[in-house]
Amino acid sequence: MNLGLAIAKPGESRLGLSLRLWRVNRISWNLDRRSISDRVTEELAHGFKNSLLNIDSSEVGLDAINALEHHHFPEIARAKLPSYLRKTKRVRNCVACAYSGYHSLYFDLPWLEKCPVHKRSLVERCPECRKYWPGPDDVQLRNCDCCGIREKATAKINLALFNSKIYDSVLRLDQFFSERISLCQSNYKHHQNVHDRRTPGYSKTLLYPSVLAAHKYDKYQEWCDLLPIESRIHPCIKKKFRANTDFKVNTLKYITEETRDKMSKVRKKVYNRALQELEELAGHELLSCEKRTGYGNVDYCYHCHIANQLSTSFYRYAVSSDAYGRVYKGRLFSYKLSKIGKISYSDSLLSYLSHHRSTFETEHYEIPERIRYKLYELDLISCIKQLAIQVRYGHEYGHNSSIFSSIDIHDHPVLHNQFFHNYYSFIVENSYVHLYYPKEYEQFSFDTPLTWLAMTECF
Amino acid sequence: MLLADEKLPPSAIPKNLISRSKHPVLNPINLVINAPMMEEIVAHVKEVLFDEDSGTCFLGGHRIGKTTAIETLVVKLNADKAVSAYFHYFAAEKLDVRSIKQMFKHFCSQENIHTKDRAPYLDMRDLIIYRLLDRFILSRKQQIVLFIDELHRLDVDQLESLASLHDTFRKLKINLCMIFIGNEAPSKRIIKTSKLKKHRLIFGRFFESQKKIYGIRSEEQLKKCLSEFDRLRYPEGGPTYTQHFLHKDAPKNWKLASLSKLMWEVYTTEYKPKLKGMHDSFGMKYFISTVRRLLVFYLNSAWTDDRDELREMISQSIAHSRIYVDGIRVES
Repeated sequence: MNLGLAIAKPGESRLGLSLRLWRVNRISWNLDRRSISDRVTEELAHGFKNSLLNIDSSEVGLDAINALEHHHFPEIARAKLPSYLRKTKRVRNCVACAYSGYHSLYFDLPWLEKCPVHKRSLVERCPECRKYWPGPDDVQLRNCDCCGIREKATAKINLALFNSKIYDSVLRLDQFFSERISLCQSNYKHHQNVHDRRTPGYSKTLLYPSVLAAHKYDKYQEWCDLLPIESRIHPCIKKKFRANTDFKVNTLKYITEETRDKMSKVRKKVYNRALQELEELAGHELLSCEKRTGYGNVDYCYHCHIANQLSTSFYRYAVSSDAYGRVYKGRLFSYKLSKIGKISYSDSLLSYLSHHRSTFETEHYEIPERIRYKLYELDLISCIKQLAIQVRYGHEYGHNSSIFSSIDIHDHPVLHNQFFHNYYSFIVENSYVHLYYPKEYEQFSFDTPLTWLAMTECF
Repeated sequence: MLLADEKLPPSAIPKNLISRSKHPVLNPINLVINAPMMEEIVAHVKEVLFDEDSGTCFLGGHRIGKTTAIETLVVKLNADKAVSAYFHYFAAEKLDVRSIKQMFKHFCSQENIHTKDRAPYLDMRDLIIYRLLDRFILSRKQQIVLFIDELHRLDVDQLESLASLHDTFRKLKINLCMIFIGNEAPSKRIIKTSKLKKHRLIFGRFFESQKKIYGIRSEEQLKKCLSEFDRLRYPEGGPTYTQHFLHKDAPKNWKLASLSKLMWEVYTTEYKPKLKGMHDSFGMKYFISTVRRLLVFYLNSAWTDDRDELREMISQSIAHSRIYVDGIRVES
């Protein structure tokens, strides 16, 4: 079996590795349905004895090839991407890369929209046969010049890419992601009253490069300039506290008066800050631009609309169901902002961390009070952002304030199927817990709400 | 074709029935000593590598130990980090059809690469290129040296295709140096053909610098080779090859190398004159055979330091090595 090291490129995915192995062993291997891992395992077991290549590894299949290459070239940076990162629904590939028999593991992650090498969009289907891109085990079954290997193998040897610099942008991604962080699972009781639909996997994945840059690299701005995913790296705020495991998860379902007061103070602080910012942006006194539009409806400018809705949400019961009592799932109004801090809570359940050390061992860490209230504040800001997005959307479609409650985001071309959720990254290291969140979380961004959406969108 | 042990099907025959003696002297296929030609080969190869030449050629008589020397050197040089090249060995085969495809197919089978019957030769060539590149990249060296043994089994078309292989590597900015090893007399045919105007390219690439290699040609070289038996030990840390076979009455520090003068005398006076036109040196195959017989049959059974007796033993050992066929005397 040949390894095709001369045509190996940085950031190869399993599909990329399979394509490479097929390309350099095409004449030796039969085009049957046997998986690539089985083939490689068999070759390693029977016909691959060489002093240069023998390594002690328990890996089999494609993992064994990766282990072998890593063993011989330890100085080459290799991406260590954690398994919890969420991949795109379908395999994506760049057409030019497909023709050259390459697929990058970054193509299936949401940080890239275009191939950093060829600057072409990543697509889900092969442009020639219109099928979805194959998996590593079925490339040999495709009779297609672009997504298969049958036609390509008959072409003359093309080693033009050997020693080429054109994949340097992917190489830099490999260098960047050669560091790895392990995130704790955080539990916030108040979240269930902030967001109806929680999908932290998306936010976790989207923020991973930002958190990695903030945690592992001091000069992360330099990385931003170098990496093809610079738009996905956001400046992060770091908070550090001692890891306290001497903490028992309290299941009490009441909230103390003291906590209630503190939460109320936070809410007022956020509310006042939001109003102040809105007034500055509006350029006039809030709600002074009131216009009667007939049928008893009132219209405002965008910023005053937000202020109006905000006062309703904070000091009156926000409408999350229509006049007939039907609850509108998926509506931005259903976040029940008014309930925050007013229903059953216990202080200790407000938020804590779980760190899975192994399958059977989970450690819980306490989040200090100052951090807990900070997270509460950030969540309130996220709610206000959601409100602003909804008002913005209502304005786009000509809704007036009285019927905002009936706006269904499923109709919106951008916002449909989106879940908005602040994600806080906790890393336990050296008896300290490091909390990272994007700077953007602290800002209301009334005029640029899509920046925040880009951190939380699903894909 | 089964070439590697790992491809053999499991045998029903117990291994101890087919296993050979473990001592290298009793198992000549495993008996490798530093032959004088090795130093010459290494020196010449280093010169070629310094100039990044496209190739060279080693020619020598039969049974002088060319193949063993090259096979040993490939392992040694690959392990030597000071040498800037990766070395790979192929042996050309006598083929019923001397085609380029057959040559590459044979190279593939030597590398344990399965090929399909109908595969075009270019595909097989690609397999070899990828194999060489893999090994070259793993070795982290700067050039590739391809030793191709049995030059006389190749024809000019096959050499042309090897020249194009060199060109392919040149495009990758890697010097693929091809070093041919062949038996002097039969190789002259192909070298002569390559001198023709239409094949001058081949001659220029591979045969411009020919180097002749020999077996043992002086007493000093003979002494060096005999000293190898006083140096090498089996098992590691055990007795030397000489000590292992020497009779118990022999002096403790007796060295086989002390016989070098006598052996050279016997060889030059009794055999060399008869070998004119057949051998121009004491071939390693015959030398090894001589020393094995001397150690295993004569010096093992009884000890003597009588010069005439030793002379007779050496003479008989050389005769039994079949360096000169008429010299074998059948003992009654």
